[in-house]
Amino acid sequence: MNKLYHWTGWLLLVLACFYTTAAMAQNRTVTGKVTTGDSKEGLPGVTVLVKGTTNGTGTGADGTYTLQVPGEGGTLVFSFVGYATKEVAIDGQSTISPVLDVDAKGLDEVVVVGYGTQKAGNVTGAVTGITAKEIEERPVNRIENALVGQMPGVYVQTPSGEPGADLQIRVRGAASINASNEPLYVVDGVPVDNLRGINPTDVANIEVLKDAASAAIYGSRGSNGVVLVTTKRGKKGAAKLQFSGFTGIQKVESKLDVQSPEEWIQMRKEGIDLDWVAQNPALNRPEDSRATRLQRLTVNGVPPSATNVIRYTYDPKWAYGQDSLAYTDWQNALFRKATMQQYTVGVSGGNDNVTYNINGSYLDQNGVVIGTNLKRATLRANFDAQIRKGIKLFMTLAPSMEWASLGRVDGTGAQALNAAQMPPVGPKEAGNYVGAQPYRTYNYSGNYISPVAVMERSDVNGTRTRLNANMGLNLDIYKGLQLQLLGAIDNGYYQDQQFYPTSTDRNWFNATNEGALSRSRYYQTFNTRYLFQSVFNYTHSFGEHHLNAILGYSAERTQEDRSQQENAQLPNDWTYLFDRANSTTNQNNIAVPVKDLLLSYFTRAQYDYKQKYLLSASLRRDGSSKFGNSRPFGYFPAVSVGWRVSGENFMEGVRAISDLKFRASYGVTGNNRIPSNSQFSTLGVNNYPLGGGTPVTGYSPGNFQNDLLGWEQTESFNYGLDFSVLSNRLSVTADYYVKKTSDLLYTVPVSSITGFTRSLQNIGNVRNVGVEVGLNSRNLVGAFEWSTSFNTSYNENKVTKLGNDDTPVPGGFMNLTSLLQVGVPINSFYLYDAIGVYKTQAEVDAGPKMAGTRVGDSKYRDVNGDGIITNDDRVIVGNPNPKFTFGMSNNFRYKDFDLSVLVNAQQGGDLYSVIGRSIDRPGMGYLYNHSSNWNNRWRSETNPGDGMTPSISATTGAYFDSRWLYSSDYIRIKNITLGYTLPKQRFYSGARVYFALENAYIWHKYTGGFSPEALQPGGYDNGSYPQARTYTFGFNLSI
Amino acid sequence: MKAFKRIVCAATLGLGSLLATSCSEKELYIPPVANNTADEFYKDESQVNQGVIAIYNGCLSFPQSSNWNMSEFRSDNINAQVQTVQRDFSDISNFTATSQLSQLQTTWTDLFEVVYRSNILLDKIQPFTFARVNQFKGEARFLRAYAYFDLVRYWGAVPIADKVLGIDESKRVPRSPVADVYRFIVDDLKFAADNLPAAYGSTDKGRATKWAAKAMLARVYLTMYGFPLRDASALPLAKQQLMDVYAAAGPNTFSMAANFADLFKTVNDNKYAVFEIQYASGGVGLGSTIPWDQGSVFPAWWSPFPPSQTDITPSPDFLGRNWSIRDLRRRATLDTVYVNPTTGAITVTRAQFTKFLEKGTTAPQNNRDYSNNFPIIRFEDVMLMYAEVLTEESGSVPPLALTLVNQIRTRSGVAAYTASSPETASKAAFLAAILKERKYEFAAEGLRWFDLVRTGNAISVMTAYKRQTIGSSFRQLDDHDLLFPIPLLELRINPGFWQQNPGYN
Repeated sequence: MNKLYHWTGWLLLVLACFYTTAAMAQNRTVTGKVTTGDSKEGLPGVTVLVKGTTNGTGTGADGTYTLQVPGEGGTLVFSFVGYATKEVAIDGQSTISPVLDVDAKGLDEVVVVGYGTQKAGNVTGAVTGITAKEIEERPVNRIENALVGQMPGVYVQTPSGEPGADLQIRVRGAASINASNEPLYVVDGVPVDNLRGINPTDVANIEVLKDAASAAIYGSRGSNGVVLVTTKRGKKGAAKLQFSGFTGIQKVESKLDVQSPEEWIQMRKEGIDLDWVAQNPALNRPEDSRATRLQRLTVNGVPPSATNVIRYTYDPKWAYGQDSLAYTDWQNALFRKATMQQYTVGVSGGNDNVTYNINGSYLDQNGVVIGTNLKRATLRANFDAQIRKGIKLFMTLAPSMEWASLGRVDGTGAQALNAAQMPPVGPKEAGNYVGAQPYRTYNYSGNYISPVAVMERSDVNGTRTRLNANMGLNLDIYKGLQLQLLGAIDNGYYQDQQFYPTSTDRNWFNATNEGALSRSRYYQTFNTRYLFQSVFNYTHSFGEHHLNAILGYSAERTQEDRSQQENAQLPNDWTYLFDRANSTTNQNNIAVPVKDLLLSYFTRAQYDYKQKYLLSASLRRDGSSKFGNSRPFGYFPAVSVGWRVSGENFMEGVRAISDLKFRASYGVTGNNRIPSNSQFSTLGVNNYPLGGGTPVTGYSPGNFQNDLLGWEQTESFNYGLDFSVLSNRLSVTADYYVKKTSDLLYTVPVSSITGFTRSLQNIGNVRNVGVEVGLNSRNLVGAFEWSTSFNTSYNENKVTKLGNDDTPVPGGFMNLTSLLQVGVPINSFYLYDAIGVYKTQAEVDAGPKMAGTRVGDSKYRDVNGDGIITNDDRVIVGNPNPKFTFGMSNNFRYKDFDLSVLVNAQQGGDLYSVIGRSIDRPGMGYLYNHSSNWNNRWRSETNPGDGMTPSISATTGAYFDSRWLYSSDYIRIKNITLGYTLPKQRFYSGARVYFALENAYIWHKYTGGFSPEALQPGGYDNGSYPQARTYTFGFNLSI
Repeated sequence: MKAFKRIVCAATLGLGSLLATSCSEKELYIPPVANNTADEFYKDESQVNQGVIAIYNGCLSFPQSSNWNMSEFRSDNINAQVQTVQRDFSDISNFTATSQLSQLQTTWTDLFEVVYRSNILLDKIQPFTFARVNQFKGEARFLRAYAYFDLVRYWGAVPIADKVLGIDESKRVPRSPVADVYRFIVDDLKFAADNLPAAYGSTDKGRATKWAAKAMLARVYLTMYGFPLRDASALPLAKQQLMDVYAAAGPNTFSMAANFADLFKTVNDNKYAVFEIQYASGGVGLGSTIPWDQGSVFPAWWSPFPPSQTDITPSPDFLGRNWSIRDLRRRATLDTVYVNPTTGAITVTRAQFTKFLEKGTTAPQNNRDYSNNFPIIRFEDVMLMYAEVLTEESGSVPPLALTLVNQIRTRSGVAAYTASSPETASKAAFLAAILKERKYEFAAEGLRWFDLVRTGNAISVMTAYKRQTIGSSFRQLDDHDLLFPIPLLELRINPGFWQQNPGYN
């Protein structure tokens, strides 16, 4: 009760500070000036309070204050965010000018470490994190977005700009290839598949366990790091209302550089001229007029067919340009300025026995591609109840829903790519709907359909419902011994309905009736995860020795059911509904249930002596149903030690160093993220009609059986150093690690003579070595504050062993673009190295070449120097893993204004643009649009172009060469936020407004796609939803 | 005391719930819910039979992936323009195929899939003794031989997978010499011929019979007699098989259809041919893609589904005056126009093979769902092979050979050869006449390329044909063009272990 009173008092005081002046009986006046310990400047906004009362005030702009106090006694409390609170006894003084020291925060702060917490100062592993502040003050629609550039060794990538799309998080490089490289996500102690549907403002903090010693407590799932998300819980006190929101406009961040209508027409003309000359090389000349051509094409009085007219003569409309033709920039037509808004309302509070925090949010985001949008509503209710002394119950209820119209944009054959590839010229009347009902395609072009029509007319609706709930008991059994029981479910239901009416088909004019080419699909998946966990926790201190130990057991069952129905040939296009009776079944009632089980036993002990000598050790035993009968269990031990040098006596005189700690750790983690049932040779249905067309059931094995399929194991060493100098003004964390992954899970291409083309195997070893440095500096303190946090990571990745005989394994796009080979990074690009173009016949005759090389072809490097270009001349030319990643945020504060700028960058990786197959390769003909470098293609010996772009009829179109390989280096101003904290008013306790610019600017050299981050697994980009630049206005209000 | 009670209480609760929810470690074995596993299969005759059906299922892809996309495109039956865009069919047709061509990998994989399904059946059937054991083995070996016969003709020396291979094992199977592959095929077919029944009950119609095995064996021997083995001893062996099959013809087995066009109708499935790949409509993935593959433009009254529109036409040999309009086969094989049944309007289209399209059919549920069976060995093929063997073994034109050829010509409505025809003037002329007859009879069925290769005519015929259709600068073909390159990925599984076919990289 005391405490409650205290809290209420505080609250009232905060309010009172600003408008109470002389409400109470005053006896005497205390004045003074509060200054900072570091800069000795006056500190404004400090709360000054007579302890135990509601009597108080705040300091002015120069740090001075005046306060009436009731008598000689009492104590003044000075507090300000970021500074250590100071209490000074009044003791009859009338001037009290305390010096506030910067909060030596961190060391005593509690860090979540998996199945428990630990004082930050005692952490011996490599753990990094961010708090609510970094998340709340920016308009992010997914939590992962708030992690970009914030933490050393944590690389967050946005492969698709689609609203709500999953981001990729990589912790310390890629250890795996086929098994997922995603870290394990744990929300409030419960492992979940992903962070979709979690409102960023619900989050109190996020910790990432990077090294094996920290992650080993999660055993078979720790190899890729663990992301621990802790949501906000209630605090004792009066109910507090939080209201926040943002609204903004998004624009496409970058576009592809393709040919303009004029350039396309010019190229088309050249193509027609070539055809014309080829038609009769002896007679025809490119400069022949249309009349001449038509006349020569007329044989025996029969005029040429329409096909031949198009093939050999220009469109007369080209002379009139836009007066008679529609010139369309398809990217402009497909992209739009899109709105985005989100609102969150939360209430938290509680008393001694019950605390609560309830947050609801609503997001409404339109995509920058027309026809795409996402709406999301979330609720999260956290309750904690003290039932009796020593018995605590906690529960979370977090339902969320998403309604989205997405898809159709990402990937091969989808609309982002279509927009790049569409000829920019079309019939005047068709405009943006060329090729789409009722307009035919432009007769000088190919068979296509406007991406605008596809996006507008198709009907794609996905609904995702998620219920995340858990409940647990904390029992104090005996002094220091606690038992925590936890039960949790995570249910997801996803329902997707897609309807493509005939009018979205490029062959709509062939349709015999309205619904003839319509497709309608209904897909649903339902997944559940049940977790039961019991953990004994023992804490004991004897003298300066502190011990914490846990012993736990958990069982996790997951189940997923998928089913799909797809029908085509509907009777009409009135509705997407279909029925077996009135349509044709494409895929009928495919139902796929999948079940998994993970059983785990784990223990950990953490010990420290005087917080100087730190030791932690853990062991986990995991059994997973995903692995072969022979190897379902794995053991995952870890040990780490730390030495806080600054705690030693001999360091006492060293004032410059405020904290210094060495850490070292070793641990083993695993990766079980492979599809269920991979170890089994499952039967495929292979029917055959007999006896005049009656299907007879047949079965054959669909893959190899692999009883030995096991964990991918990662053994890692971590050496770290933390130090702070200048009374914590500058703090540095540095880590060096070596991660060795063995029994790499990889889907290997196998010889078809086995009957199969691929198989999931434990095939090899990979080594990641890296260095991470994180740096926090308070550059300026005082009235104008400036702090910088900077992080950088370097990671080097290398395959060290493959199978029994180190045979290189092909991979990548069509298994022809990359290679797994000992001694080089995984997914290294393995391509013909294009070094130019054969500009003249003499060059062809002289140089090494392929059989059939013609002048104007791409010239490949003769790697083995044998004088001819063959498959053996393919060579490793790069890899998709960036070597360096950087993040830097600068925060400025002056009076009530704050400004933060976040920059992130990466260097040393490459990506392969498979989009190039559509817009940047020889042999595409003249019908579609090309990337603009084709204006500088090789045309003839006298007009050889830019020396890199080959002839349009070059013979190398089927090969994968380095022309499409780009550096993925970039520097991006990820976020600029300018905020203003409003003066306090009686009806609210805090208010801030901000203007934010997300993806403010990017420097990169990638012209093969929309974004250098658009990397598919394996390192290639096949056309992704472009990213958006977002201008947002937002506010946070607490009442 | 209170504290102690609480300890007991909590401990009981904790342990109790731990035990209650604790899962037995045996539960970690979760077999797939959706599918059975191979381990638990092949347990009785019915399941073994289902294993056999799966081998036939593997053959569903052959007409498209082998007969049409590989064999027919390589031959002079098709005229594919050189494309400005890279297209597999164009590269195959115009002798510019490289080892990276995905069609080569597809066909290779399809053929070896049948080899694997046969091998696993032969392995799993071992413990059984039921009556149909030998029939099942015979079917498996017949289909394995069928796949190998295509493999050896496309790629020459190929690895022999005579049992189920593990991943590491598969890396060390060498390419066997062509003669060894043929020996392997002959062994399989002999076993099949000895053990397959002569006929099946009505519900099993469509399975390989003894006659299918013998006819296939005859084709194999005839091929061994020709290029590349030129094994003279194979000729009498072929003759023996052909005599047997020819003698077995009848209304209940196989025979020559009175009307050529009837051969390709669904209603006549399994009536005339010795062995067919079975297709059924119904949208369950058992339909034929062939009408779609071969078509260019279908009016709605032919089929509701547009064809593939692959950029090809039938060879000029089939068009204009090169193929008499009186030959009944011409109308049944291709179209150059279509006629609107209501208005009578005639539309001229690109010439297209429509042999397997039953015009006006409503059975298919999509464009790859036609019900017409695809003949692998027609009785007419047996007749013409028989005529060829008889001619090869004698010095002149034997009367039976002439009769056989004339039966086919008469049915087609073209003049029979007589003693005074130039075609019968010499053995060589008559062999050429048979070869030509086969071209027309089996157009679009995928036999032509193999006929050209085994008779040693491929290089000269194809060089001339390409110079005529592509341009006079077309290069002189050579022996290496008679084989395809091994797909690149297969070579890369164990680099350096297999050598690429000469002339390819």
